[in-house]
Amino acid sequence: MKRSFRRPRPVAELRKEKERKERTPEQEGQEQGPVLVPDLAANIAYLEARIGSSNDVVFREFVIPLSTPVRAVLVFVDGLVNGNAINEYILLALTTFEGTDAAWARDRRNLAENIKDHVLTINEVSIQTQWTPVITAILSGESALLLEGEDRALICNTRGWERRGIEEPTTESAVRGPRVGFNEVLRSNTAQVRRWIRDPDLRVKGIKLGVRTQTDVALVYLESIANPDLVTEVEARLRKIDIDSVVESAYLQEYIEDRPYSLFPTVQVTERVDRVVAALLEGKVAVLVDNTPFALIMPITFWQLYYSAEDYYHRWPLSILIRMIRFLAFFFSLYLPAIFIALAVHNPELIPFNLAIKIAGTREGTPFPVFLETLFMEIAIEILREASVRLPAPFGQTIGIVGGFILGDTAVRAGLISPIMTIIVALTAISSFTAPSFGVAITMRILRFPLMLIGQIGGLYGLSLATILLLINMAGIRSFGVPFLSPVVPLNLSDLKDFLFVAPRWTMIKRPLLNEPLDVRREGSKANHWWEALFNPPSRRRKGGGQEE
Amino acid sequence: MSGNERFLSSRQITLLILGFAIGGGILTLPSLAAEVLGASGWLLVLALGLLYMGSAWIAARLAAKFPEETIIEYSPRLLGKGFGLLFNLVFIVHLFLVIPVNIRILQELVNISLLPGAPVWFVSGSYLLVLAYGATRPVDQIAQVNELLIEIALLIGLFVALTAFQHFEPLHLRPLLSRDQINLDKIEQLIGMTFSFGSIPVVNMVVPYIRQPWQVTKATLKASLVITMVYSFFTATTIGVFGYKETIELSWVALELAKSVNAQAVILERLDLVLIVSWISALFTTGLIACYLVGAALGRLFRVRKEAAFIWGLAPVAYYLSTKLKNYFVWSQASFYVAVLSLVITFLGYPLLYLLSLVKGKHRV
Repeated sequence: MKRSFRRPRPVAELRKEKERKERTPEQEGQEQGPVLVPDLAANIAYLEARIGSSNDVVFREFVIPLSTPVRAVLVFVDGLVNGNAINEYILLALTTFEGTDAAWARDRRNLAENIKDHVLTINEVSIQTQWTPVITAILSGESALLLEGEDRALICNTRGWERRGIEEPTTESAVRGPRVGFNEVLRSNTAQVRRWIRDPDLRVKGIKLGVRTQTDVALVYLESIANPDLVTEVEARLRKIDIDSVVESAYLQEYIEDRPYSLFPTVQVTERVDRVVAALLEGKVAVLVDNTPFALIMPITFWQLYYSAEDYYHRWPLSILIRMIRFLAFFFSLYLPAIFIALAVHNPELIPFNLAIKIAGTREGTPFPVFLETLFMEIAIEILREASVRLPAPFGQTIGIVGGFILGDTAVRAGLISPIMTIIVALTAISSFTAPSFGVAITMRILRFPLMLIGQIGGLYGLSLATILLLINMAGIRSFGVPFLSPVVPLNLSDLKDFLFVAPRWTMIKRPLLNEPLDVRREGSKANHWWEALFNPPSRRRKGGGQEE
Repeated sequence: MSGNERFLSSRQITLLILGFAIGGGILTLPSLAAEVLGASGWLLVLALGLLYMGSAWIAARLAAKFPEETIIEYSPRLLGKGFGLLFNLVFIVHLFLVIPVNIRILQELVNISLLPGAPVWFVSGSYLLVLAYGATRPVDQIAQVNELLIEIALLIGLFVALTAFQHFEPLHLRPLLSRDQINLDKIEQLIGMTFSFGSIPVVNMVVPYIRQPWQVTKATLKASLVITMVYSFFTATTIGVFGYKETIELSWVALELAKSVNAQAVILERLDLVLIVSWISALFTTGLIACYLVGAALGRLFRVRKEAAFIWGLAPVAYYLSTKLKNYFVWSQASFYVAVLSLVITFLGYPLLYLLSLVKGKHRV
């Protein structure tokens, strides 16, 4: 018989719940923060006390020429607003409108609504009664219009600040494909996604995160495709975040990942718009964060970290080749130095005789054991890599040449390292650059060092055990419920068509089942199975020679 | 067990049974088969496999009758408290003894090829640590690791067997069932062979985690069939390559088979080492599943949720026992005892429990 344990709830938690139940709705409202009062001077004084001491906060006072003129003040932050929008659609509209004697103009009880409905010509206006959203709106680039005798503020969307243009993503370049990356403006980024997917089911849910920064975060998904459980889970994890500031999407990534202590990222980071769009169409969810071009995509599997957006832009035979080379490079970047050490130290008999003689010849006279030699070289490469990233681009290239070529060549000539070691380390470094995801490339770099040590101590046996240990660890990782090693384990035959091999596009009739999409079938294909589609390519259908799907 | 915890597919069950069976036993199976039935040894393996398939069917039917429980929970109700406890203890001891034998086989393999002269504490100790760590993971994680490792090992094993076909002599498999070659009095070898087949307990221990319990019989039979085919094919290949007399003489006949292959492994000089490296994963799956089953069985027996405590607690005992199996003869003797226990459970325990479940089925079991 299985026992069921019920964890006792802490007393403090119970007390809080009791207090919450006993509270009246009025009390609940009061807890949301202070509210505006129907006294313009008092409202201005309050705002000045909270944010007015900053030079960039502008209080523009004016009079609205109604039958009984009304004093008003427009509050905004200089630099965050579009000056033209304020001048033309708020100030000009409010001071020069016709119909000052109209019936609505005499109705003072609904002044805010009437001004919103009849005067303001700006595209987005809302009414707020509490200070917290008003202040947040002002600090987000919106303008607050306060009126004499009104305990409500009109919030006008006047956002407009200096922004970087849409540029080619620097971290994920591609030979073929759109040269469009995200920038630091959230609205621009969501607009880009919408420009790509003109589907009414595209949802952009806004959340504010960061107590101090009040950063805008957008949860983007296709309602008719993404699994509602996934969307709910992502949203719940985001809403649970209690953080002081969100400076970059990495801040959120650490909070929402399934295994925050794992070396492997379980959320994909990208600045490519097309990548986000493709993910949404597969039933995934994207999180865009204001002030950063890096979007988060979830769920993700280990293998998908090695997929590039470009894989889908070439013809399928080329894509297969590219992807296989990339997986081979992954193997090299992780294991090559460790296997070399294991073979050289413990099992030289495994190396073909002629090659073994050559290697022994080149290592003749080198002062360090093979493990230390590899370790020194790997550390040198890591230092060079870090230096070249931190320096300005022209210097970075110089450092690369000086370090990689001159230093390596000199070290070989001086007999400090063997030429074979230079080849091994260079091949490893180049292989690690093939990883499309920066996060997984770093993971491989971190894992390479303990594997080298294991290769030295335990040889191929040690490496086998280490690999098994790594697999055990990876098998335990889930990304929003999706097993990290799928579709390989647990095996999912349908999803294998986009794994080592990239199947022809017309055979990909189903979206990846791992994400458990609501709408499994991609539009435009009538075949029931991929093999049906495989033997009925578009060319046959075009000629009318093939079977009707 | 709530329905939410059912996460193993029937394919994973098949592979778990395969992963538990295919490991160290296959390395010596052809020698034992050749000793008993000479050139027709592969026929003996086939017959044994079919026999075990029958028992697997019974075990799977039994498991399907109790989809919410493991054998540890329902055996006392069927056999009575005393006999039930005795059966459970035999069941757990049988599973536990697989671990030291498994560790020792690995130690031997590593010492004769990859790391000659490496100390026992290093090879066995590190292996046992990884085994114990893996066995403390949730069952779906274990199933995933097993799924990957056993497939890789089987593919490489199949590659070696197929490559060795270049030396295959059909004449080595003849004459079929010659009286001169049949030694049915070699009971020890005959029983020792069953060590490779004893993977049925898996199904009775993991059935509460299977997503579709009604598919358990199909999955078990599929696994038994694959095991039988793999063993028969491998034994036939080995006897076909070496002849039955030479097969009997070879201790690690599978490694000799790999050595017989002339093709260089692209950039590596020796193919047998590649087989050993890959076969570590096959051995690991056996040890991993055995460790997990022992922990799970003890957890169910003592109604304790922290199964990891049993696994870590028994790890030093397994290590100690593995060090006692000093050479090939000692560990083959140990595997003989494991096989005896396996035979008792398989051909006595399961049929009896199944019959009792049918008899008592009218009443509430």
